[in-house]
Amino acid sequence: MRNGSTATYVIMALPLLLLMGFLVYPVLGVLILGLVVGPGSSFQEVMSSQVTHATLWFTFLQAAASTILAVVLGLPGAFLLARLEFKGKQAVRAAVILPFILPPIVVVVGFLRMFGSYGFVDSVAMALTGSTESVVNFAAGVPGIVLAHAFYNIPLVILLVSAALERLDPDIEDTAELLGASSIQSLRRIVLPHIMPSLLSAAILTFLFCFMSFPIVLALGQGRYMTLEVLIYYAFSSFDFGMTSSIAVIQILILMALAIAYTAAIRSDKRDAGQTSFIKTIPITELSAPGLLTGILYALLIGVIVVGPMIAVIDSAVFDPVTGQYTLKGFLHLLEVEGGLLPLTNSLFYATLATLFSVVMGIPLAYSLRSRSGLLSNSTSVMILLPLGVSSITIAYGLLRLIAVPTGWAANPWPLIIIAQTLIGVPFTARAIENSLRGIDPSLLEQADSLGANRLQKLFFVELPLLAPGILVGAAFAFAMAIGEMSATLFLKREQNVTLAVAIYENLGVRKFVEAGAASLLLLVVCFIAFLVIQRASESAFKGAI
Amino acid sequence: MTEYPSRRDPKKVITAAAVVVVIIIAAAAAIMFNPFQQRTLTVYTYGSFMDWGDNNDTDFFGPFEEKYGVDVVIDRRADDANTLVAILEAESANPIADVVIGIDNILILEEAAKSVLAPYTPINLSLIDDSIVSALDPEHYVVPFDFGLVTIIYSMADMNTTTHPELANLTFADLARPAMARALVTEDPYLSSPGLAFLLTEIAVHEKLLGTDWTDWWSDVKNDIDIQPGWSEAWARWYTDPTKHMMVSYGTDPAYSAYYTQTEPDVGTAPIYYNGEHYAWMQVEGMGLVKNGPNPELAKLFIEYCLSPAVQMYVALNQWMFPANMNVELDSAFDYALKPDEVILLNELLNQTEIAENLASWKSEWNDIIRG
Amino acid sequence: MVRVVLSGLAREFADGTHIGPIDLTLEDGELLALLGPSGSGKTTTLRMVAGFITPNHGTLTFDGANILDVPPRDRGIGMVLQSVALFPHMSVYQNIAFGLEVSGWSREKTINRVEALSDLLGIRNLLFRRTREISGGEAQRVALARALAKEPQLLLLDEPLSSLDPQLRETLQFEIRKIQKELGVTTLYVTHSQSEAFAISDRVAVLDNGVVSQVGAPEELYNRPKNEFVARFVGGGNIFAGEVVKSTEGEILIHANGWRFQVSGTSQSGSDVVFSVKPEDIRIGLGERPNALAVEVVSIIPLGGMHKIILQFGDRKVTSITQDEDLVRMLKENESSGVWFTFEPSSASLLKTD
Repeated sequence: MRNGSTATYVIMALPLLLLMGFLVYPVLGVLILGLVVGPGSSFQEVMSSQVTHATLWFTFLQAAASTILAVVLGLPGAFLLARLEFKGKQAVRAAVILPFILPPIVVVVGFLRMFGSYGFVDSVAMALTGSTESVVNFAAGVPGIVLAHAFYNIPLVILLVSAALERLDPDIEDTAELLGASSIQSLRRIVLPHIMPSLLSAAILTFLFCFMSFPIVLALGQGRYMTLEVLIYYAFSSFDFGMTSSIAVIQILILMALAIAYTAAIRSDKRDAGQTSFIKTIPITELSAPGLLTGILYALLIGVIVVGPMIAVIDSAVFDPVTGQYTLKGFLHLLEVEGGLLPLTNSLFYATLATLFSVVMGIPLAYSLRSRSGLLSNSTSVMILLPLGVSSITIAYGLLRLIAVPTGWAANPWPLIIIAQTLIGVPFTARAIENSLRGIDPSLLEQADSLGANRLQKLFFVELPLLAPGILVGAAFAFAMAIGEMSATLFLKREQNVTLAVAIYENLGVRKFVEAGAASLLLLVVCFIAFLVIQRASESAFKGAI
Repeated sequence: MTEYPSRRDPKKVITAAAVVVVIIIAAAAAIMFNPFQQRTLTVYTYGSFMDWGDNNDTDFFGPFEEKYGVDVVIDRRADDANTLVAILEAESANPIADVVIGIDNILILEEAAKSVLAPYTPINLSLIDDSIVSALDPEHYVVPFDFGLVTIIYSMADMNTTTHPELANLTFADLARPAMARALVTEDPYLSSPGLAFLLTEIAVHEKLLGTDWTDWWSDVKNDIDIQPGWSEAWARWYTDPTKHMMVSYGTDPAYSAYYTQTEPDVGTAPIYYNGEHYAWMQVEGMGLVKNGPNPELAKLFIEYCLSPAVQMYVALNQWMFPANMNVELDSAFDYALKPDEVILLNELLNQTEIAENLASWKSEWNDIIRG
Repeated sequence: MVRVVLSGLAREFADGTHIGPIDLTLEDGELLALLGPSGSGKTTTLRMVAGFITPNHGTLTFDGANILDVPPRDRGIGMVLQSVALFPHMSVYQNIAFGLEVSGWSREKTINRVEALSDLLGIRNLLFRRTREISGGEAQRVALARALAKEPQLLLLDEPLSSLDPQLRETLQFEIRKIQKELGVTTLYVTHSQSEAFAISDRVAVLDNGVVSQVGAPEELYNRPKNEFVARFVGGGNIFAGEVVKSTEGEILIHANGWRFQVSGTSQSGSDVVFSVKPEDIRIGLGERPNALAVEVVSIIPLGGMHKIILQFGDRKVTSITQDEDLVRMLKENESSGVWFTFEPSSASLLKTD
């Protein structure tokens, strides 16, 4: 910040002030209201309750298990995506993120068909064993929960880590090989440290998602398991605001511990950023036979886990379980204003602006995260994770009660919906951009300085293009989060603000199954196109064509 | 010379982008805050309200709009009625809604629900059967809109009274057998009104009829029964999972099936049986005036209108509940429904005072058993 | 172009290390090499001049004007670093044109300048390549063109050639020197290689442990090192330490390592002195000879046209460079008995001792 001007400080401070106003204030506000005014249980009661302890413990364990599975399954994908050069790579990258946007209820149905009793996997197992009874059921209990969480979060691991891998300097790897390091050694000494920050980011975001999981845990756990988030919904729907707030406080404490541990882990890593460069890519046709085989096996595995439930979505768009017939009426419904056009327009409008805002906010926030001041980077780190780590109902209720109602926005809360969707996108943009920032060789910035570029020119012509991979991943996830957002939107929206995700849920609620299926399919297609567009934009930005 | 790439001025790019965004937002704001809108009456209700059929809000409320020169906005504001109450509470400083529809005979027992409502006794309440009115709310904070019976339904493709004779006279003891319990899907009583109705059914039958401790049955089935967070999830499970044959749903489901398949229904109802009688829990959905709502007089007229046949005639086929106004003729498909006169209402055994006093502890005991 | 004066420039770092105070003057248009081992503060000094490190003490002036408060981008500098640091997302053309474009040069002027420079450096054919598609030597040329594009008043080069292979390094050294002279741009050239510093510069400043040890023309440093460090680092010289046992007019007799050496210079009898002798001044002979020092040959290293011979003299090694092929052959056959060395008293330099 040696060259920091007033403008720079204002730009750095602005997102933090916005987060304070639209996130910290409403959240802390309702927490204090809940704890002080109530009504309901006191903090001490909640903290000493056996149910709270048991739930906290289960929440933690399932989140840890899910995170490990997502990382293990996602890492090879990250390597393949970064290393391999093949036709349609852009499409694959855009498709990888799709699981992320599906509403939980749609995922659950897909899971039942794929992994449930007499589902796809079970049928194969039954055929192999010659059994007429169900052999395996992976769509129930803890395995079902963990598998579904992996399904949701594998994209996060694949995309965040492959973005880091793409900036791995091939020279370093070559040097390691010349020095006689085996590929395992070079993986451990060269590659792993290089991707560690992004791997940690992906892991921490995955952990938070699973930690906050609610419909998946209830639906696949068949009611036998619950997370802290379930307890919050129980308390909220029973008007026990004391308990709602108490559990949200526990969530915030855990979140703070995670955020600070993450910052500390990253800080302890003192390596200099190497040269900013590109990873060596191998055309798929030149892959060795064992390599190709491993790749195919992995693609099959991911296909079963990720693509399976998606195929179920396609099927649900044309098959009506009420009449037991195939029909196109779901798509006809989409052509109606209320049925498809309005939700689609709303979804695109909110999600596009929210994505734009989360990227614009994410850039200065990423610099704050990188700040040498521990206080600044830690508080930023906590603040940006808050929207993921605190019950969305708390945030939505806070926004409604403490911002929408006093300002009169409650009558038409579209700005608030955009704000809520921006808030949940920021963790992705800020983290992904921070990871990219770490990969920029400082001497490039000094070069720009010495060549006479001012702050804005340096940002535009050097930093932003180099941050493009991070911005791309961040923007894609921000878009996915925004367009798939349910809880806050459902809580804030008025009749005219219905989004596609909300429409899917509402259609399912009134047995309009094909309508819901068609809307899900539309959501997938829209997102797929959006991700392709985001990739194009970021690639041309990288080529300096802004 | 042209082959050399050129650079744009970042200031211009930023300005252009900012201008585009501002124009989009301004345009959206202009569209959404239409100053020429006529007077509106806002109705908050839950997501699936009157959304099950072929008619739409214009059919139901168009005549009212024309008569009073008002725009009726049916805002399916929340997924469930409990959230509706929380929203009304959050907005109580500056209410937007005039009327709320969907608060049922259990939710109205909550202090929070009464706190956001103003009692009102419509003239048209005379059209509604007294027993339903008092089953909902004798104080008239809310008055009935529709009602339905919560019961167990089963898929006829998987089971029937021949393969499972016990379905004709189903008891909780039957349901406690592992094979039956494993085939049953119900809903979470914290998050779903049919789920809560089923819990109250179980409590009423055991405590009032059998005279046994209600918690035992849940302890018996907790490892086999499938509890889903809401009705939609439960239905998805029941439909998708070939091992699930029964679910807790509404007594009108066979009517729905018959109406849409235009054949004999493929679902049957199995109300709980005891000593020569069948029993079911009645859910009454009510509507009420929002306290300090912007248009109280219009709101009262609207409630009157909703009780009249003009709206009530649409309830059966668009809501798949029984209309509160019993003078309305029902579609022939409703012959397949479980009707109130076929069962004894458990509401009569478990009165509202008792529920109000014990509901919180029942739910938390239930939670301790299931997750204990 | 510009005369740069560093006076008392010093910087302390949080970890306790410190650089300076450094006093150094770059005359207008000269190429001054900053030579020193790694960790001696060369790069820090360069970065202070560039403005990326703010000194705690001292002043820095360009043509007499204080420049410390001027941000790097307004100092009129061009930089080339060892890591090259070409912008990876730009083509070669865009890299070279970057400084011109951000300074608002017209498109036509920019293109003319880039074309002229790329002709000068022989990279005209690379202009449309991506930076990852060019070789290391080409990359350095591009980096140099980029640094020179804006006609900087001061060129800062930080080990620009050390990652290249020796042959390419020599070619580029020559080119850099030629272009620098042609443009007359004042240049600070950081290197750890004595040969590179000597080959390229008008003057060399030797940096030791954060301070300037000696500044002078290459020959001066080589022939008249002021102290042991310079002698060792610059001359690769043979250092001898001993006691003056006899002082006559213009010549002293020094007792070192059990032998007496005749050295030109003056010093008081009985004082401790250090002197150095350059390898090429060490003469090796074979066979019995009085007044010559018997030593053992440790190794003979061919250097192309000459040989480096390392001798074991007591507990220290003495290096000699010879072009005498016969001598080398005889040494190889001789199995290192009866070898001696000697040097002219006038070829030894008395060094300052600390």
